[in-house]
Amino acid sequence: MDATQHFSDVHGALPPAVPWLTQVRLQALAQLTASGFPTNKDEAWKYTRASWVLSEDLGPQPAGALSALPANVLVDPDQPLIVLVDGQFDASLSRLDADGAGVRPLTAKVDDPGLGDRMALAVSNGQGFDALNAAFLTDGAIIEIAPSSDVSQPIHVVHVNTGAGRLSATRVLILAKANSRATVVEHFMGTGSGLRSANTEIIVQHNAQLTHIRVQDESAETHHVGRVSATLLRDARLHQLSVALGGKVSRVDVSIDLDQAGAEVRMDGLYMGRNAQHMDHHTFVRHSAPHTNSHELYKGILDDKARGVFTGQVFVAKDSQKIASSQSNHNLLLSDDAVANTRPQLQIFADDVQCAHGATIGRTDPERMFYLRSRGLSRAQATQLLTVAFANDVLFKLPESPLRDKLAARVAGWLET
Amino acid sequence: MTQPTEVEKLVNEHQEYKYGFVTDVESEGLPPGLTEDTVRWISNHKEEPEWMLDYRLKAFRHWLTLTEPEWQHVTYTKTDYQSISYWSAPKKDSDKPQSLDEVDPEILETFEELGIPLHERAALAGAAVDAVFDSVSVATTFKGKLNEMGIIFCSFGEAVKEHPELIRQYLGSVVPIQDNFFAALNAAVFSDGSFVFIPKGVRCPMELSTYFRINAANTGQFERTLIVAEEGSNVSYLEGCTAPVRKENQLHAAVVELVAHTDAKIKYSTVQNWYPGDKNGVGGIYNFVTKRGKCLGDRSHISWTQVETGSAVTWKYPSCILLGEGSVGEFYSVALTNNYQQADTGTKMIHVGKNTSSTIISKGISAGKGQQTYRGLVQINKGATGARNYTQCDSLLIGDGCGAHTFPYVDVRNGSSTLEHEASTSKIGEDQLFYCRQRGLSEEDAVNMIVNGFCREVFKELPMEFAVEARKLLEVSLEGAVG
Repeated sequence: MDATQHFSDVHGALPPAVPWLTQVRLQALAQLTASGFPTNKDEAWKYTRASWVLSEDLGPQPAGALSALPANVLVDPDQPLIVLVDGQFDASLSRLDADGAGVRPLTAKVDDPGLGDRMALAVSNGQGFDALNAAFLTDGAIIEIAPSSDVSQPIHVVHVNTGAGRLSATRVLILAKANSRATVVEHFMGTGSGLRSANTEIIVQHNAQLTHIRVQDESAETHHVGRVSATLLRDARLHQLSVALGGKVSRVDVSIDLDQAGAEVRMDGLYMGRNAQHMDHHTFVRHSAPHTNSHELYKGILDDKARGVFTGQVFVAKDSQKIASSQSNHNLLLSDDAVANTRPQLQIFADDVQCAHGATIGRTDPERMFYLRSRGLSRAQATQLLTVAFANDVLFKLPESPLRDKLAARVAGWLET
Repeated sequence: MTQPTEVEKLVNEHQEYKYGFVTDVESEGLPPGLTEDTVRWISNHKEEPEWMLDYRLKAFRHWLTLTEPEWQHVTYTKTDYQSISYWSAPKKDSDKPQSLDEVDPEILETFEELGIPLHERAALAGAAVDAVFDSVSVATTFKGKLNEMGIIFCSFGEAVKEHPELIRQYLGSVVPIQDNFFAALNAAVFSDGSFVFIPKGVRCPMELSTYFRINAANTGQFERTLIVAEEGSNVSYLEGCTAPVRKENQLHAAVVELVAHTDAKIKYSTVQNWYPGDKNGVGGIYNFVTKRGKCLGDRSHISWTQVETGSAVTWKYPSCILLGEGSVGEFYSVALTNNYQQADTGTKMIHVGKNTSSTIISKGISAGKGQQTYRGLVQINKGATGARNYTQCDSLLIGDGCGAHTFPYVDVRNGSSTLEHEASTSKIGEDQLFYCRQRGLSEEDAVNMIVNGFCREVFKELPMEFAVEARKLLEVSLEGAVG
């Protein structure tokens, strides 16, 4: 199948959009036609084939209707919320009021030259799946955290998909202005099948603190390709957590640019796969300025025939001195058929740095198992306990909050089933 | 105040590359260029049987279909394969020296300068040296003693003539001609090399060593080494290299194949100190080598140890294919890049058999504008239940112009295996330096000491004489990197 040809054929089926978006779509489609999709020759796509998530029956479809949010959603009733159903903004389920923050759909303004230009710029660098995202973009969210505001409640973006063979593409922009503090949670869920393309752009300004949590909890037949790109300015701090529980084949890229001195990022990830799930995470941190730090912990729990892939790149540019960077990837294989691939990579062009990475792949520690079993736990109970502890290691990098408890409960629930 | 020792040191510094001298032996060479005729000429000149020529031609024809790989993290001017000569040999090839006395005294002098007077060193260290000077073996010692035990240690050319059945059985069985660009090229035009065969149950009584040396200008050297260890045998092989100063880049594309049968153990140690180019990155050797060992039998064991301080561009991955149940692969490496040197090196451990284990210890030191990359693969196949790997790769940075990069690939396909990978990159700690300086060591001595400590885990794997040489090499190679 010629994928790029297929997507230019079905492009006409997209619902009409505001003028700036129409322009972005066409530009991106041209970009996609020119670049094509990554092939297995592409090192970044060594373990995940583009053809696994692309098929002839994919295409844009009219948005379905949703009467209530799905059960697993992590939202509390009083928290700000923007809901995108099949890539379209759903006003009835959303609560856009937030103290200290502006939350609105991407296409809220018919004429939005600033945004249009910004998107066009982002698209001009996009290839493959990034170009696909912009070419089929229907809507998304813009979240602006006001300067010096401390937004106490997490702001939720819930992406819900319905129907079969759907290609849905959304884009979320998060701008944390100077000295602000906030938490944004993106949740991907739904029913049916198809391909979800979800890109998020984040800018954390001077001395702002942002926590961004991404929960990929798709239905079993949905493919998911997503990207989080963040730029951190002076003394900015970002905590990015990616949790992957669902989907058939999923691929998430997280790229962080530590653009100015004092910027610090903590990137964590937890991927849990079973059956024949395939989960690929690709992280990239660029230390563009001196005195920047990055710390990363990714963990995988793989059962049945699931496959987990982790690639973590740390890049230290020339003259970016006084860098501290650590990266860990640990994989727990619960069955003989599970597969783990890990590629922790360092590229360092400065000398005054302290960078370390570690990776392990193995099964449950027999000594811990023995300890628990000698105290009367069954093998199943002991495995469950050890696995939950293994996963919580990642989740507990978040400060204590009702949100963290909900997330931990969701993860524990997944492990019990 | 200048003290005598300092004067000496200054002189040494200006001496630049210590082993940079050219032996004035008239070389009998082929004109530059590579065609099928070149391959036929080499084969004919070496009086090879037809099957050997067929093998070379097959490799050459395959090579024509390949393009030079570009994925490695190095930049260099590509070799024009039509502008180098594929054969050079000491003139007196027709009447090869039968014993040391017959060896051209000029060549023997070269070895003297290198610090390995053949007879003395052989006697002292109890090692047999199959000295490869340019492309033809000129001397083989201790042959009689080894012969008595049934050990074959000879030049590759000789082995093709005298032990064709062994060569036909094992040649290309670990590194097939289709393997990669440089392996194919080597298979087509290899000039000579060493062949070692250790029969069943024999423990080789001495360390086998060979000295490679590139001499004639404009000659790529294509060595081929094949070591076969039969059931229950044991051998340790040393390989050390130096090369004279040349302005053009010289290509070295060697292939080393190791085969270990049941309960056999092969230990392969390398000290590589070829001309690294001058301080501005001009000249130096391109070292593009394919080294691979096959642990064919159960409980077989292959261990690679390398100290890489030379060459302008190094690109090699000594690897182990662990087929036999309970077989063991090891890789210990110290690589140093100074000035404009580049190295992209590492290993591959392919676990196929049950309960196989592998250890990788890699230490990289980058100084000046050196760029260094560790690239490795640990693959644990579905059937390799109970496999185990431990990997540690550390990089040390000296100076703000250098770079250190790590690209490990880990691929685990069954749940009963355990794998650990650790890596770190940092510069020499200020506090460590301060501690040493405060106790009266010069900065250079302090750095040397810290670097030595950093490499200790690898050095202790080297045979003793090699360990001493390796330590000295590092010190020489690091000169000018500090202060």
